[in-house]
Amino acid sequence: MADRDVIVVDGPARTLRAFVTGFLAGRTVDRAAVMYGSDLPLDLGSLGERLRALLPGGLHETLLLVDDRIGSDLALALRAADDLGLRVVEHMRVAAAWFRFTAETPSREAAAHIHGLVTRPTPGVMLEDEVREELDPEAGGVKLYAPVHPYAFRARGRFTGALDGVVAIHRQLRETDFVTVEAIHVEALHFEEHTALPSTRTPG
Amino acid sequence: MLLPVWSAVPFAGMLLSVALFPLLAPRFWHHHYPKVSAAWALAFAAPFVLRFGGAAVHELLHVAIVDYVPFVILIATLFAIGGGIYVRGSLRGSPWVNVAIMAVGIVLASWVGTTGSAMVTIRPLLRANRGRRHRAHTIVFFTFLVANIGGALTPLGDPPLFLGFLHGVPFFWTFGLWKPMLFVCALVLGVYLALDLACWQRESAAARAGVAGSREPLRIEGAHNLVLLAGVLAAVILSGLWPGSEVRLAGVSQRVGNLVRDAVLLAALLVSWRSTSSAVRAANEYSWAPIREVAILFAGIFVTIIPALAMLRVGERGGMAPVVAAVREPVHFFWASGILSSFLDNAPTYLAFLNTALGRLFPGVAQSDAVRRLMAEHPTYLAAISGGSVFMGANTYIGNAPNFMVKSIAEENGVPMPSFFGYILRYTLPVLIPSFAVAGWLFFT
Repeated sequence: MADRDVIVVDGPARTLRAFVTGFLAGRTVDRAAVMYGSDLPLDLGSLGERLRALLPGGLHETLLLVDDRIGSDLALALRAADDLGLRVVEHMRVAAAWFRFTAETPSREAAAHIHGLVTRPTPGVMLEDEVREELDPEAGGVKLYAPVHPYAFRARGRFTGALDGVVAIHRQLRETDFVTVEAIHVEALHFEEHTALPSTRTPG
Repeated sequence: MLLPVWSAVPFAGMLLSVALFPLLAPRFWHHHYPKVSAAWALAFAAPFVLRFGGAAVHELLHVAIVDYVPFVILIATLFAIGGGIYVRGSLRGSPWVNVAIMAVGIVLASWVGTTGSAMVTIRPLLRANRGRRHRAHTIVFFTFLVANIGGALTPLGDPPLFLGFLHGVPFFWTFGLWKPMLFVCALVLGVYLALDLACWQRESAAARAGVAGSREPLRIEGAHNLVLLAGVLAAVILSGLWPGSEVRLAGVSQRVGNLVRDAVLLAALLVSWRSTSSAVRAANEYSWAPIREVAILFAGIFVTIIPALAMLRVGERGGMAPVVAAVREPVHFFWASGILSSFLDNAPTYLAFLNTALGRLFPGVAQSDAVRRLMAEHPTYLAAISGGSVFMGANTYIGNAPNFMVKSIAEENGVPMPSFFGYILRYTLPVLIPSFAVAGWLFFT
């Protein structure tokens, strides 16, 4: 699975999308090589940043998550396109992505499905978890006023790894009943033009 | 016997316990509800007997013999008979099939009880919709219609109406609710159909194709229980038509017709239990636990309700005068009994508002005469109380006993049901409340 660069671009989103589409077509690269942050359930950072993004005339920044094999070339091409109103704000390398999830169900069938997903995630993704099943033999059968289930499956954890794998497992879990997923956090290394040491920050 | 307002605190405590413990502390409630029920019952009964002696004992025996025992026998019989019927077969969960299943459940509900009807029809509905992605809304509307509104036509349909029957409301009187019931059912089913048609378009092709492999034909196992049900129906109707001579049991007046009815019901229960295969019972996950729940919790409810009913019956001269004064018109009774039935069990709520109406309109008149006069002179009041108590049990998971049962069965079959507040915000407020508002205006003003 490819690593990803993060390129933050300031400028009209439609112009950017058209530019990227043309760039990829010119290189005959699959469109999946570039993902847009607005299309993904990413953690948006601080409340202040979220509020600023909602204001009219607020942030016009678009987050691109680019296959690292073309990331530098795309960033270069965008820097050369400043006459289109596009400006590269940041160019970083994704260090890791992660998200938390919880799952709870009294259905054995749903539990088996969730168990399969969380214990066999996509390649390049690691799970730090707690999975447990609870049985209450006294709780069996139909109840009217004291509804307690005879079986309960509970799981909670954190998936970490390469962005593509994390996004894939996030999509699977989001579409699964009885599972609650949080937004995906992305950690990136900042490329400084004239510094040897990278710095770490979360792209906003 | 004059009772102070605070003597109704155990009644409030009992109803709030039944409403809140399953939500806030389900495991504690599951293991300790008998103790909680006994505690509230004793909290009223002990000082009551100490203060009023023999008169109090008579009052407790009266409520046990006239109300509690017949109530539990009916609930147990209908539950046993309903739990002995199992519908097998493959169905495709299309919107029209779902509407048809719900329509069958609605018709059944008034004859086998909302709990029994829900138990018979929920599993075919879940099986039919097994392959569908969007299912929760179907179960919620099923709860609205089959587990609540459908039970409005006869005393067998919902516990509040059976209590009305025990207190002198004739068996077929509630047939008069057919117009508001049909109106609300049509409105709610129409909304459901529109919603499910939209959801159907979003299902995958495989889900819309339905059951893979060979289709199992529809058949009813335990169908002989329908004959037993007819027997139950006949016994209840006849007990109202021919009450028979009076007998005294432990000093409490009772009618031979009622005793014969209860004996016939118990016989029907026994025959159903002996003649229905264990496979059918297992398919319905049948157990006696729900009957134990009803018996224990309603023992507490019937004991603790004594002071509340006594105060309400004397109208504005009693300790509940503010309550009696506040509820004036039939539509007020519809909403007051309805809103309280949304959060508290609807059977005691119905009794409370029936007595509020009697206290308002015929204060101090003996109950049997007052009920007769209420039906003759102010039938809209009784219709409003009946409609409010039965319909609005649908408003929350805690409004009526089968609501939680349906939710549990659905979740154990993989349907992610909405939370307590999700149910209210996404379904009750936009669908039920407007429907009830129109029905209240059309039929109870």
